[in-house]
Amino acid sequence: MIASLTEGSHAARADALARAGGVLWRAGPEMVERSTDSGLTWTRAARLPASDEPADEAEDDPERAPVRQLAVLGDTVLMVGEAGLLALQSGQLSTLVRAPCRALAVGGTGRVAALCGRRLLTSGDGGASFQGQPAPPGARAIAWRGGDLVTAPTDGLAVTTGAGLVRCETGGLVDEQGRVRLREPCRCVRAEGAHVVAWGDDAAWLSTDGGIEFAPLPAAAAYDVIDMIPDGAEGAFALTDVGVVHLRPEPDWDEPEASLAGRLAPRVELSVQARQRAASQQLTVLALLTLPLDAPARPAASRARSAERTRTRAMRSRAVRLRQLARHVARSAHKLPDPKRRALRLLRAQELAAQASAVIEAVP
Amino acid sequence: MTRRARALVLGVLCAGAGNAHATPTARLRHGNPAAELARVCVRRAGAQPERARSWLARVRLAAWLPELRLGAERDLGTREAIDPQDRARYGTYTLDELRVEGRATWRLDRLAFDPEELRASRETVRLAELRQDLALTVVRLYYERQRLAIESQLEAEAAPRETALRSARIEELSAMLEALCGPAAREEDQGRDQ
Repeated sequence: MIASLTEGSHAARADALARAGGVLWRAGPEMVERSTDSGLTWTRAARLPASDEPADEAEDDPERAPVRQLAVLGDTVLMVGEAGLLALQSGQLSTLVRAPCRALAVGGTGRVAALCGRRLLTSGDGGASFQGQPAPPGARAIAWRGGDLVTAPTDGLAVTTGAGLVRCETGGLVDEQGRVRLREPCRCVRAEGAHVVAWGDDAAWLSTDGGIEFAPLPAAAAYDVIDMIPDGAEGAFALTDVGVVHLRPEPDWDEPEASLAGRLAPRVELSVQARQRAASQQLTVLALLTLPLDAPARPAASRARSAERTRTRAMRSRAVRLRQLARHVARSAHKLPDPKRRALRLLRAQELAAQASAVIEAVP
Repeated sequence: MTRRARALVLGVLCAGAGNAHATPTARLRHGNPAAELARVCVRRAGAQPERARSWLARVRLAAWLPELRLGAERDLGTREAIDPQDRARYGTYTLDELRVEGRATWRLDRLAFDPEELRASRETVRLAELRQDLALTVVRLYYERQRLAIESQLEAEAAPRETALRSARIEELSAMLEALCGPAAREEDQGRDQ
């Protein structure tokens, strides 16, 4: 946690997130956990093999992170990192490849690929057997497109249903034709069906049309995002330095004015009366339509929406300020020669990060 | 220093002291314990944002549901037919009449706007403020406790009175957190002790 506040590169964090239906998986340096309630509670699924190296070094070096990527293929959870390519199936953890790996990609019908050292390993049978070949020079990320494997020299690479193959570059998220789909500096991108999530150091975006249009996830600015995965609906789960959080796009504050038909929606009254006498019976059905001609109380509604929006933005602004302050305090702590003062300063940075999360999560 | 305070000191120093890239404790690796404790407290207080969202959803759904009125009336007795001129009585009838009435009213105009939305919106903002206050209080108490624990360690030579006061304050903060967050705060505390 403290290390994450002080690192320059967020990719150095050794945590990863994956989702399979309603089950979320997260892997850290020591264990793999699962959650069935959108990340509120976690249960341990497996303990990862202990590394021979000091945990500090393993965690701080992005190339030697115990777990770098996590993916779910059917009922198997696959992960790559310093320990190699691991598979978790029915609670049993097995090592498929015993060499440090940095990238993982899974495709339908049991396709698995991993970038391990300078080798590109592929499997068509869910990891039971692998074929190896030299990896393209500089390859850092891999993805399956149909039956073909694609590599990229950046960390962000995904195959989307709308924009095709996209990758993060300095100018933003770019597709194969060179069109900029998202004109913001992004670090990573992940796609699941038509949902695509991209994120950078201070922001994240979600697309629900296969990577053609992106909407910002504003709360991401209040966190240090380590990994993200679309939730399959209207938002995304983010693994952050303060836990797993659910991020959603900003609601549509500017509701369109109700149409005339909507404003003249009637009041429908249906009355049934049954009468029974000794020698006769009677049933009366009465339907009444009342059309309200007065407009609904728009000014009051607008005022309420405006108050809610203002409050939301004020809280978000406060959270972002606290997050920036946390980063500043953590950076300044490293300049302190006295380890005890440094500990107190780092504790303050942690507190500010927790405050940022408390404020952003309180947003209406 | 009490056992709890000593355990806190060890936990915090493991997390923050030492070199610049200190080892976070196992508990800290998966998130910030104060942030996670604050989330538990918010849920325990029933102030989670899902609650406000469900209010608004219910207000919108309510427009589709009718207002139902049911009534029943039964007349029992006798009725006599009398000539108003000569007051002659022509006959007597027994009355036994049952009337059942059901009325359903759909206020479809509320699909466009329901005044209840205003109230729900105001309450949403109030709930957000409550949530923020509660979460920030938990974070403040948690880190005050951690800070005191570190200071106790830093000032090993402090006067006994000072040490005792710090320990008492740590106990007080732990009790306050437990009162706010319930068993989760105690479990978090015990987790550190272990």
